[in-house]
Amino acid sequence: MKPLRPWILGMGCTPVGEHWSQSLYDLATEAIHAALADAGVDRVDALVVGNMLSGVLNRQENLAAALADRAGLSGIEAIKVEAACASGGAALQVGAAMVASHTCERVLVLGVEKMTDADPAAVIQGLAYAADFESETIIGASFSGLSALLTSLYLQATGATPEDLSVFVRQAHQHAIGNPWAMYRHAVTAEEWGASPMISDPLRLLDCTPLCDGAAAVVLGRPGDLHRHEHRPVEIASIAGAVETIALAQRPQPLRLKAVEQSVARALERAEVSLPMLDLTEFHDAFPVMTALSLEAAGFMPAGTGWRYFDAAADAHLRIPIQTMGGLKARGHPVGATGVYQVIEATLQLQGRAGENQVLGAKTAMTQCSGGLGGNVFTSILRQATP
Amino acid sequence: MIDPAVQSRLQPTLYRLEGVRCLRCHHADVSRRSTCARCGNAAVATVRFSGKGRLLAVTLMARPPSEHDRLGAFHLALVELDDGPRLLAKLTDVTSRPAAIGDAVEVVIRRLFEPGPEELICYGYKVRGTTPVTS
Repeated sequence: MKPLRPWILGMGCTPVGEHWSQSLYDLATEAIHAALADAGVDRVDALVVGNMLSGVLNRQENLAAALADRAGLSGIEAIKVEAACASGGAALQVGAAMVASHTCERVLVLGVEKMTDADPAAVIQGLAYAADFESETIIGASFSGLSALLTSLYLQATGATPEDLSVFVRQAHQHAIGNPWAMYRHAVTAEEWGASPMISDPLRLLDCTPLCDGAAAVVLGRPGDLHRHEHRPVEIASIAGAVETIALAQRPQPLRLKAVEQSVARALERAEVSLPMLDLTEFHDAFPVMTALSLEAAGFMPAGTGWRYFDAAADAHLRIPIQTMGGLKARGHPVGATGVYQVIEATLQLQGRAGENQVLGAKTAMTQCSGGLGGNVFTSILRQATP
Repeated sequence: MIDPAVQSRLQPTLYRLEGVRCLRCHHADVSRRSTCARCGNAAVATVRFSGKGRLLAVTLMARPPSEHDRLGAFHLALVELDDGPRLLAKLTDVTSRPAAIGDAVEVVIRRLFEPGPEELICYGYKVRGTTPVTS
């Protein structure tokens, strides 16, 4: 049976940043109303919310009901989906499946995270709950700490330096300049990177994604639904997830992101797309080593060479634009919202609406978000649809 | 702070470095898990590990999580034990020169958390360098 591939009918988001005057509810409502207005509807059948920390940081569970009510959508069905930093991708998976299975006609998928109300140490603690509690969180590990250890293993294995890896940071910041909702719309030089304080050696402040707030929403529906012909329609060709052992110390091969390998392979297969058909990719660049390892695991670069992606002298299986709107690093990483921001940005690229960051002729895009250090990965393939 | 029931369940791991070794592929972990992290096999033997190993990676965490920030920054280490498993632990007994990558390390028992309202002290493993410091 031919799979039903949902279309993106509308989308909207808040800027990513420190929104002191806006609550979790305010941010969510703003993004929901923007997406509904963009789609030209005032109601959907269901709301699926991607969020990680509303219970820990905002003391609000039953989140989907709370947000649907605040947005004036009382009566619809609503659920929250949690997969740590991949919560947005997981919510898209659930929302797309609801449309594809004919359970609902139109579904609004919202990603939202409000991190800056809480003390930063409490946010770092909350994020650490995405690590393995009994062997990592209890020890005192933070995600920058775990990423620093992973980075150290990578540098030892490849001979790369922290400065080599920082190329991903500089490139992301360069791309964020053209993204109207990015948190950091400014370039970063190698000198500025080198002068930024050490957070968890070898990781500097400018290697790490910021603690920030944001909400992003898309309305999903059936092919042809609501099509108003002013923008090229975009379909979700596939979404696929994969998990692996969360605990870094328990992974047989810590430098091989197996869940990235598996979710990419599944997403390509379900979309009936091969790797060379991709025109751009948004990876989960929470830390530079994650970009390098994801490039390797996704099959763009041979193992151990991801850090040389921008080095034309290095062999690559596929070299296409990545992090085209600034990525997690410079757009910002409001945890549960990230997967939805990625899909909005990739959709703009496929519609030719990405402004100065436009990837010319982009027809097919891949987006990927990762919970923990590759513990739970969701990969989406988006494609221009035929009206 | 850690709940007493959780602390009680984790005592074999935290106090005695007990874990599992897969009866099929022999992969070993310092963990209460009941399946193998490498092959998924459900037949695993409970093992007590030696506590001797070497340092694979170490980082000085300047921004610890709130439940671990009372004493400020600390070193987080990834260790490979001589009998197979890898272990994540705080580096302790750090003097002027912290243990470096490749150094021999050993597991020691230290206080992990300040006591909570139940006044139970949670002890557990940390690691320290055993390579003599030469100036």
